[in-house]
Amino acid sequence: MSDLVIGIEVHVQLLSATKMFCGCKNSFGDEPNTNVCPVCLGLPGALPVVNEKATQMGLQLALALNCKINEVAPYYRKNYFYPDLPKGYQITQYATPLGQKGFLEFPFGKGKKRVDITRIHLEEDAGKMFHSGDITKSSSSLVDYNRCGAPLAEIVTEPCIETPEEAQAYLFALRNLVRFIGISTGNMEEGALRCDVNVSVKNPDGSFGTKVEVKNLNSFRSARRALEFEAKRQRDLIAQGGQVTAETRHFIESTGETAGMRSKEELNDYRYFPEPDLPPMVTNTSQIEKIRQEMPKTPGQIAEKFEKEYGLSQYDAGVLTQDKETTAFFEECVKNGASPKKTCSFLTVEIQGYFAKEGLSLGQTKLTPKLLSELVKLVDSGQITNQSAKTIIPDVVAGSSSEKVAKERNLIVIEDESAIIELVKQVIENNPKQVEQYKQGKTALSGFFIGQVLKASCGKAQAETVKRLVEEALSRL
Amino acid sequence: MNISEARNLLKSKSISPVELVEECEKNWKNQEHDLNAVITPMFERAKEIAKKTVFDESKPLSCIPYAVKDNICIKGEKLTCGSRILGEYRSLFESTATWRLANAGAIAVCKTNMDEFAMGSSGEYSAFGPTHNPLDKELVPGGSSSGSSAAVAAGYSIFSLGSDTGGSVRQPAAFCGLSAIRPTYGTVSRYGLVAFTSSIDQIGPMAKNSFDSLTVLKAMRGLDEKDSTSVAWSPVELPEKPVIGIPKELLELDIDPEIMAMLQECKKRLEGIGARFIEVSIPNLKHSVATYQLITPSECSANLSRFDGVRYGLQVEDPELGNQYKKTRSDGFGAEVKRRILIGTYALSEGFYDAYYLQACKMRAKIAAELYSALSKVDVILTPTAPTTAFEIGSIQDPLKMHACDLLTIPQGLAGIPAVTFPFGKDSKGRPIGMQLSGPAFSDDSLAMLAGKIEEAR
Repeated sequence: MSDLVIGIEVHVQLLSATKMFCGCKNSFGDEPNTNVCPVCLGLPGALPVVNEKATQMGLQLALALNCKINEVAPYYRKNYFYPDLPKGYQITQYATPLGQKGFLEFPFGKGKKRVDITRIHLEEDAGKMFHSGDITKSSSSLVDYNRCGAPLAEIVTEPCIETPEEAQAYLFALRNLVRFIGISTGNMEEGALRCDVNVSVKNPDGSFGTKVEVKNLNSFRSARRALEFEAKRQRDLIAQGGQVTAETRHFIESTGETAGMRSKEELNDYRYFPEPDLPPMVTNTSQIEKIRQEMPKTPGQIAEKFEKEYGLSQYDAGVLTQDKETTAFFEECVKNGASPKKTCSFLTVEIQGYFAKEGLSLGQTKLTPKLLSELVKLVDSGQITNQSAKTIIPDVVAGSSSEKVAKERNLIVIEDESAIIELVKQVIENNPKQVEQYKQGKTALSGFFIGQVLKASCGKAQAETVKRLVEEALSRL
Repeated sequence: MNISEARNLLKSKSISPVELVEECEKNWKNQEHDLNAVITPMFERAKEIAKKTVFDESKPLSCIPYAVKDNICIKGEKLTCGSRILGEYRSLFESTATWRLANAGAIAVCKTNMDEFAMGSSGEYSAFGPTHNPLDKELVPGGSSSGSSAAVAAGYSIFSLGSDTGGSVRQPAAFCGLSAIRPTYGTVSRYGLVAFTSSIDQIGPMAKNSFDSLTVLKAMRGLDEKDSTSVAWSPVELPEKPVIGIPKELLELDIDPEIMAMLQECKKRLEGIGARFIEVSIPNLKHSVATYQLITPSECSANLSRFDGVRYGLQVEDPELGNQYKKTRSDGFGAEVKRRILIGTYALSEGFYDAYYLQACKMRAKIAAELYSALSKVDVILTPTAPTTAFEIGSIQDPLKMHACDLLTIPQGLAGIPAVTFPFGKDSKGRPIGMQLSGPAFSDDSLAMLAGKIEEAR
C-alpha cells in the first residue's frame, strides 16, 4: 500500500467548431484577437448563448467516463479579476455538474487500474496572457482573447491514485479516451489538455494528510516528476517533524521542483452564484440514449471487442488501443483479411520494435494497412515463414510490396517436401558427431538438426514441416 | 404630441419626417440647459435618416422620434450608462430592442441621462449631473430612467426607452405624468441592454399614454436567440370587466396619504367601467425592498466586474495590476454603484452567502408565490406606482430612504410579471400621481388597454 494520496483535475478543450457561449471560431494558433466578438470579449450589453454541440461533447465525455448524468445542471458565475477574463467572472457549472460518480478503467502494468471520477462539468476558457520576460518583473503584458470562451470540460478524480506512475497512466488513458471519442485533440502542448494535481501523504493511522495542489504541469512527464518531488518533499518534511502546509505550488520545469506561491493568491473567494443569463443545462433520458448510441467507441470498449472477437489477450488488446492510429491501422489490416493475432504480433512487436530502433512512428513512414496485411496474409497462408517475414519488415515499412520482395529474395516457402528431405539428408551427413551423440540417446539434439535445416533453407522451409521430416529421418537412423 | 397625433400629421403631410425631428431638436435646444436630460444628442444623425425616409403607414412607428436610455446599445454611438467608467466607449453592436424599433420605423434622437448603471430612483446619481423634472425644475424626474422620462415630458421625443429593474421606467413616468410598461420578464430581449440585475432587468417603453406605450412594446418584443432568457410572446387575455385586488398591506406601508386618497378615486373610476374589487394579501410585501437590495447588488457585483479598465473605457494606470483595478474602479464608479457592489460582494461571500443571498432568493420566491396566489384570485392588482410624488432635488440624502421609493415597483420585477403605470390626478402641490396595474405574466397588453381606458375616461 502506498502512503500517497493523489487526485487529479484535468481541463479538456472541446473540439466544437465554435466557442462555448458565442459563434466565434474555436481554433488554436490563429492571429491574436481575430476570433473574438462582443460576447466573448464581455462587451457591455452582450449575452451568452450556450453552444449545444459543446454540451453534447461534454455529455459524451461524461458517458465515456461512466458518469451519472444530472438531468438539470445549472451554470454559475465564478468571480475573480484577471485581464484574461473579460467579464470578471467565468461561466461554469458548480453545485450540480453535468456528470458525477463515474470511473475510468485503463491498462496499467500487467493488469488494469480503475480511477474513480468525482465530477465532470462544462465551463468557458479564459484568454491567454503573454508577459514580456519574467512575470514578476515584466512591465507590460499582452492578452490574446482567441481562446477566451472556448469550451472546456473539467474532470475531477477521487483521491484514489496511489503513485506518480498511476497518475501518468491515468492522464495518458484520459487523453486517449478524448481522442477516441473525438471531442478533443488532447494536445497538451496546445493547452487542449491541462492538469493540476493534488497530493498528500497519509498519516501513520491511514487518515489523509494535508493536501498540496500543484499547478503549471505542461506534460505527463511534468505531472509525474512534480508528484515524485512532492512525495519526497512531504515525506521528508514529516520525517523531520514538520507539517505540510495546505497550499498551491508551482512546478518548475527546469529544476523538477515545486515552489509555493504567494499566500495572497490563495485567498480567493469566488463568490459562486447561479448565472442569471442562462437557463440550466437540461438533459433527458432519450437524449442520453441517443448520444450513447451515436458515440464513437471508447478504447476500453474496443479492447473488449478485440479480446472477445479476436481472442487477443487483455495485454495485447490494451497495447492495440493505446492510440487511435494503431487501433485504426490494426482494424484496417483485419478488415483486409489478415489474421488478428498475427497482425497484432507484427504490429505491436516487430513493427513497433523496428520503429523504436529507427526512431520512427506510424504515419511517418510509407507503411499502410494494405502493405502490412499483405505481409501477414503471406505468413497466414504459409507462403513465407515468420522468419522470412521479419527480414522484410524494413522493406514493407519503406513502402514495398512484401510479395514482390519475397519473390525477389527467393523467400517463398519450399513446398516441395523432397527438396526439404534433401536438405535433411545433407545436414545429417554434414554433422556425424551430433548424429553419433543422438544415437547414444541425446535426443534433445533433434532441435539442433531442425535449426540447421531451417538455416540451410534460408528460412524458406516451414518449421513444422522441417520438424516432422527431421524427426522421421532421425527415427530411421 | 403622441404617436397617433404624429402619425396623422405625417400621413397628411402636414409635417415631414425631418420637420418632426427638428421639432424635437428645438425642444431639446430650448430646455436642455435646465433639464440635463441628454448625454448624447443624435439629432443630426436622426435628420439624416429622416431625410431619406418616407412615412410608411404599414410601420407602426414610422418616422417617430424616440429617446434611448444610455444603457441600451446603439451601434457606433457612445454608451455611458451615466458613468465615468465607460469613458469614450462606443458600442460595436445594436441592441435587439432598438434594432426592432428601427425596423418599425422609429428614429432615435438622443441617448438620455440616467442614474449610474440604473441604480437610483431620482436621476441624481449620474456622473453627468442630475436631470430635472420638466414639470418643475426644482424636482427630480424620478429614476433611474430619468432622462427618458424628462425627454418625453419635454417633447425631445414622442416616446422613449428606459430599463426597469426595481421600477426604473414606472416611477419616473409617474413623476413626469407619463405612462410606462414594465414588460413580462423575457418578452423584450436584453441583448444590448447593459446588465444591472440580469434576472430582473427589462427594457420598457415610456410615452404620453398607455396606448402609445403598448404600440412601442409590441414593436420591440419577441423571442431573440441572442438572449437565452428570452421567451416567445403568448398573450393572456384578461376579462373585459376584470376583478381587481388592492393589497391590504398597503395600509402598513409608508405611502403619502394624498396618494392613498387618489387610489380610492382610481378604484371608483375602475368600478365605473365595470371592474369589481376584492381584497388581496401579499403578506411579505414589506420585505420587498430588503430582498431587492440583496439580489440586485449581488448580481450587479458580478455584472459590473467587466469594467476593469483593461480593454475599454476609463483606465487609471498603475504599474501594479491590482492597484490599477482599484484606482480605475474607485475613480470610475460613483458612490451608489460602489455601495451596491460592496453589498453584493459581501452578500455572496463565503460564510455570508446563505445568510444573505440565499435568504433573499428564498424571500424572492415567497413574494413571487404570494403575487401569483393573489393573481389567481383577481385579474389585476391595483396600487399606486410610488409612495410619493416627485420630490425636490437634493431632498433625499439617506440611501435607505431613496431605496424605499421603489417599494411598490419592486415586487413585479422579483416575480417577472408585467405592470403598467399611468398618470392619475395630481397631489395638492400639483405634482402628478401614477397608478399601477399589475397582472399575470403575458397580460401586458390587457393591462395597457385597461390603463388606456382609464386615461380616456378622464
